[in-house]
Amino acid sequence: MLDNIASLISGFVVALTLQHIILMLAGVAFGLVVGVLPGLGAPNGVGLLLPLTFTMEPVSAIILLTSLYWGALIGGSITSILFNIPGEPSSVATTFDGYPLAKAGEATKALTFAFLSSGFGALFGVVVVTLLAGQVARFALLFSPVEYFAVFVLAFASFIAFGGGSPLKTVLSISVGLALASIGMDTISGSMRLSFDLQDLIRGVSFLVVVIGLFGIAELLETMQNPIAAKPVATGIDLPSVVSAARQWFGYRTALLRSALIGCWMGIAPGGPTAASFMSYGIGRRFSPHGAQFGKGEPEGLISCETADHSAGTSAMLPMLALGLPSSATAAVLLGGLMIWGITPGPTLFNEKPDFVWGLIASMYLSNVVAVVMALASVPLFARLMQVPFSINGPVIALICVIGAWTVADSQFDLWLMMLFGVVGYFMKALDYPLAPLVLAMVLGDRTEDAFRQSMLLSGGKLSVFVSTPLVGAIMALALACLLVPIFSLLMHRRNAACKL
Amino acid sequence: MSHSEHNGLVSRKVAEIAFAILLLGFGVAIIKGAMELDTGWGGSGPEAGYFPLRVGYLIVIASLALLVLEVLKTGHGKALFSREAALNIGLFALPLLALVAVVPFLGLYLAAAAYLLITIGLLGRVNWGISVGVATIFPLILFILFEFFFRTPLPKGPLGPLLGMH
Repeated sequence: MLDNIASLISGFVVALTLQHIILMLAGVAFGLVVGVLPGLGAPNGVGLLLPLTFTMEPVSAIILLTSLYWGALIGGSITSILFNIPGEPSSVATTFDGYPLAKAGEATKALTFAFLSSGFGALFGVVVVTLLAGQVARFALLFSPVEYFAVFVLAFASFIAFGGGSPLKTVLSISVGLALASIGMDTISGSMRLSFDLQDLIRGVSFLVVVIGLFGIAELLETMQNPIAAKPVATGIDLPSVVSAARQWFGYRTALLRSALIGCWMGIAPGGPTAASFMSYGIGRRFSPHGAQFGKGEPEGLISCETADHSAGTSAMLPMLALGLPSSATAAVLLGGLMIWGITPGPTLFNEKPDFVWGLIASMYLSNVVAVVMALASVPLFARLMQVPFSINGPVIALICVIGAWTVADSQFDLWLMMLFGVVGYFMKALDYPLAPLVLAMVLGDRTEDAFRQSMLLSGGKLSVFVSTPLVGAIMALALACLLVPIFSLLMHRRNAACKL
Repeated sequence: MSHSEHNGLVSRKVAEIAFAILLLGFGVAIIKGAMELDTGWGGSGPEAGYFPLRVGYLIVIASLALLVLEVLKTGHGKALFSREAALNIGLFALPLLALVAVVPFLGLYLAAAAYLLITIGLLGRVNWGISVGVATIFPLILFILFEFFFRTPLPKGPLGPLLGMH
């Protein structure tokens, strides 16, 4: 663990240059805007900015994009509290207690609690990442393609188990993502696949274009259905009330610690911030002495989901770097970025590119503090931004999406693809198909397939290789258990229904 | 209208079925595409078509299962969107489609200006002073950002020769 601290200090040397501090500020500021405005979520925001980082140093690029992510996570809670509109899926639970609290005239308290809890959760997550990074990387060194394939299967299976909604729709979302990933050149044989004689499909379908369509255009279409001017419950916050709210906030130590632990667990095991915030809210309601007040403007409800949301967001960087396993849609986009910058995630990354890994981890300490301060300072600004009529905001955001899709590969075809996925995404959302598994499958598709084919090569085509060692057997058993969860809950549901009759 | 279960354009059930059929078609296309490749085992393990073929099967099986479940469901469910919502979406999506369509001819900056002017001024009924302002200033900011700051030139259409840039 001591060598982790030494590495962290060298990481600070990388992160604390003027250029990187400016990138952090810019990233957080852009992230806050992205989190506040509808149609520009964290995955889409990272996707839009990614093509502009192709020529940057990888460590600068990842600092910029992760800062954006932290900004967007916090920005999402501003709109949840002031407008009852979640700016991000992971801040849906924030509306449950944040908005009632703000409506009761305690907007400053709600915002201060939310930002401080976010900051605490995020920093807790980074500390966990710092302490575990070496160990996880060493553990991941034991992984061969066989274990990797098992881990990917587990990641997909956990979406089916814990994603909520129809398991069939999750399966479809994953398999469509896998199919899209296999379009273009086959990485092993080099032969052209599924291009259907279309010149434009030869280079494959870029996950960035799909993300901009699914998370950008689709959300705009959804917002356009009923474009009503949003009215905030309050627009300003003053320093004395922030300070007094901060004092009260320290009284919630148990809730903070509990939620941060839940968040870290959900961030490291594939689950992601959205699942983490809901789970922490649910557990808080059950075990907190104030549980009965949850949903009626109880500060602890707000603290529970915000803390878990952010600790999951930051701790998700650990499996992303050590295993190449993203636990949220935004982490999946970041992972895609790593591969574009020529960085192969995995345990060897920690030895080969320590500047990159520890520079990123060190930057996370700083950028999350920056995000909390900037969020507190900019609430009045964002409250006003939200009040700009959507007939102005909407077209401007749509235009940003179009330009973002263009910069991916300077291709007109990508613009049409973006529109197509915008419409597809609109219907997927309307019909409750989950979007995150599709993006995850697109980013992981090639690596899942490669891991499978290499495993088969190693074993001479015997599927029994996936139960050949205790490690891979355990992972596979876990994945199988995940697949049984929906069947089990269906049976329980039936039985309960039958009992009632 | 409020008595009926759906008073919109499309009922949930119809949309679910249509979307499942769409996915079914996608799955069949993937299977057909994979069949053109080697789908079996070769010297280096599974061949190029092995994985896509299985994924295609998975899509077909899952969408068929969904289709059957939806067809068997009783009731039409809530309307997916009202007529008004469909109109709003159309008024937003059509200009955007037009924008994408004219990019090869006008370039992005001119197309952006025209798009903003039409959507904000004409369709959004925002006062023309503000509309013209946004439609000039925003493309100008984009121009400065992308041409000089990011050095990722965007297509300029007829503007390129005019400014002596390519």
